[in-house]
Amino acid sequence: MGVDLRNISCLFGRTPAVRDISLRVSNGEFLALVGPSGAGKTTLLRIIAGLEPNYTGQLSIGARDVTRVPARERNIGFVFQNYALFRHMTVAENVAFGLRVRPRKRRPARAAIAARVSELLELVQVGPLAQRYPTQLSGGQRQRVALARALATEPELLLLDEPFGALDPLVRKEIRTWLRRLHERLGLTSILVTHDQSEALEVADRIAVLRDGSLEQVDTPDALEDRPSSLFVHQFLGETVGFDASAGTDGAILSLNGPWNGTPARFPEPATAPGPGPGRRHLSLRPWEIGLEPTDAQGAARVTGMGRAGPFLRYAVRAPDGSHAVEVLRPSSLPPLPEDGGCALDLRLARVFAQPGADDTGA
Amino acid sequence: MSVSPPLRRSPMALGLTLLAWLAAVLFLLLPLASLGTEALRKGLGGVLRALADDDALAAIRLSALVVAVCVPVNTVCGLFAAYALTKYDFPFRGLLLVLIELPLSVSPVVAGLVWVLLFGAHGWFGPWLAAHNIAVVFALPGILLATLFVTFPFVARTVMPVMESQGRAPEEAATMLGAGFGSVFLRVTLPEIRWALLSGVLLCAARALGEFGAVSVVSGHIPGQTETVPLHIETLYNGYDTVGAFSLAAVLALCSGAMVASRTLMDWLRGRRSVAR
Repeated sequence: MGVDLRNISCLFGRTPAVRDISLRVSNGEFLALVGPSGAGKTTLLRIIAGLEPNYTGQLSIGARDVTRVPARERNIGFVFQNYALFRHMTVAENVAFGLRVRPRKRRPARAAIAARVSELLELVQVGPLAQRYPTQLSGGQRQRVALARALATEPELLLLDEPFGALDPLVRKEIRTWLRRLHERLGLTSILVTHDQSEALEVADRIAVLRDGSLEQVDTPDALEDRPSSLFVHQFLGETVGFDASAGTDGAILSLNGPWNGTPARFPEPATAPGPGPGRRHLSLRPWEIGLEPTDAQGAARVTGMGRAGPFLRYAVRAPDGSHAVEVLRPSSLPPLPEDGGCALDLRLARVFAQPGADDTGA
Repeated sequence: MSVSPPLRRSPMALGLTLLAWLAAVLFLLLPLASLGTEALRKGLGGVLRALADDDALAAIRLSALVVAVCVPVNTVCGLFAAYALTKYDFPFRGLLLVLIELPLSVSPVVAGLVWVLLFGAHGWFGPWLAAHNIAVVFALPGILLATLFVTFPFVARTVMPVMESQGRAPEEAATMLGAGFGSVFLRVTLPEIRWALLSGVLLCAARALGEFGAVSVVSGHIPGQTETVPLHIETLYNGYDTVGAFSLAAVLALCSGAMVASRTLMDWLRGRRSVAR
């Protein structure tokens, strides 16, 4: 079921943890909340769950306003960061819990509960482990049991708080593609919190980037990568290389500033600039988006070192005065550049932002 | 389950072990043995006669009553105090933590004295109580209050670390699954802490049974009426009735020993079970 957040704010003491967030998640969508630690993503998830009752704003799930509805009546499946399985119960008892605690009138018969439990355990592929205790399971198995338990009460909204955090990388990859398929198969609406952008990019339909409690941008993974609304978003989603530059009256970039001043370079078309008019700009690129063209021109950048990086060659490229260097990745299929040779920079793929912070030039 | 490396045997370890055993024999076993031999100096008949004495029986009954009242009350109170302190955050939480530990650090004599100051004949509420013909000090209520005060921390203190280590996650998980407060407490919180709770209850019982100082101040030492077992032992000893004193002392020591033993047995059983899992 869809979720509609309107002007949600939440204070922790006097510090705002979530500032005025409005966000709509449509039915069947898989949304990822990402951001650095302390950005408020877990708080936002807990507000949706009802576990953080002190918030202002309005919250609807489906057509129902749940702003003042307590957590236990929201019918939301929640998968906790460390799974929070009940240690004194077997796997089957854990999964059955949500059905067993229902008031008598809505409680399914014993046999029906047992059938539902084994169906769920088959669904998450841990059927043979029904009689084990949580301490006897591996991380991946606990993760699956936690998911089965959350799904037992047939929630239409599934919330996941860093669900892959405690898993080793191989299991992680496997379980997230599996989770994505499960989401589609069951027609769920899911919201996932993660600090790992690659996880979000792989699994989610849309990604909401949070910073200091505010929503920075919500968009599809492609749009976030191609048209980040701020330098922060671009930097958060992956490694970046930055250059300061100046723009002319028509908004076109004229030259690089600082140590790269005078280096021959190609710039993006004015259309991608944040606004017309002259002023300071910041160009931000992924390390593999920078083109290097050998040249003997005056003030050219110098290649000072290289190494292998998977399918790329990694070049250290130094500013003409030697004070500043960036790392550039170039497909190893291209002819290698000579060591200590001069080169021009092709920055046509850069995202252009206005007025960067003074120290935002870093790689 | 984490696997710790096997314990090593070395001359150093052997020496330390011997030292520990020596201390145990010298300071624990030897006094206990003397307790037994002193009690049995006039044969088993002497012990039985000492225990069948009216005042001794009254003291045993009173001690049993004190345990029967204080242990359940402090179990419930301690449980809720621990729950509130570990699962919720509220103003002056730190202060409440200190207050709970206060009885452990305050001398039992002081713990008894405060009740006399409050409810004694010249205490704050003394005149009012006297006017309404209610006896607190030098009567059963005083003894119960003093023992409750002294034994309050045990359940809370043993249960809190376990609750703390689990955080609020199990409760929150149960809430998200639709369980109300009662269900969460009975089906999730309580089972997860049951071993620590049992251990705390036994500790509390052992202390309630053995408490001397605080009770001594408020009881008034009326033989057959306000003397618990430890107080009666002192009275007998001061009256040069060594056989009587040591017989009762031996009974007390046996009770405490049984409680400690059952706690150890419980831990051992639990350890075996979790390995078997």
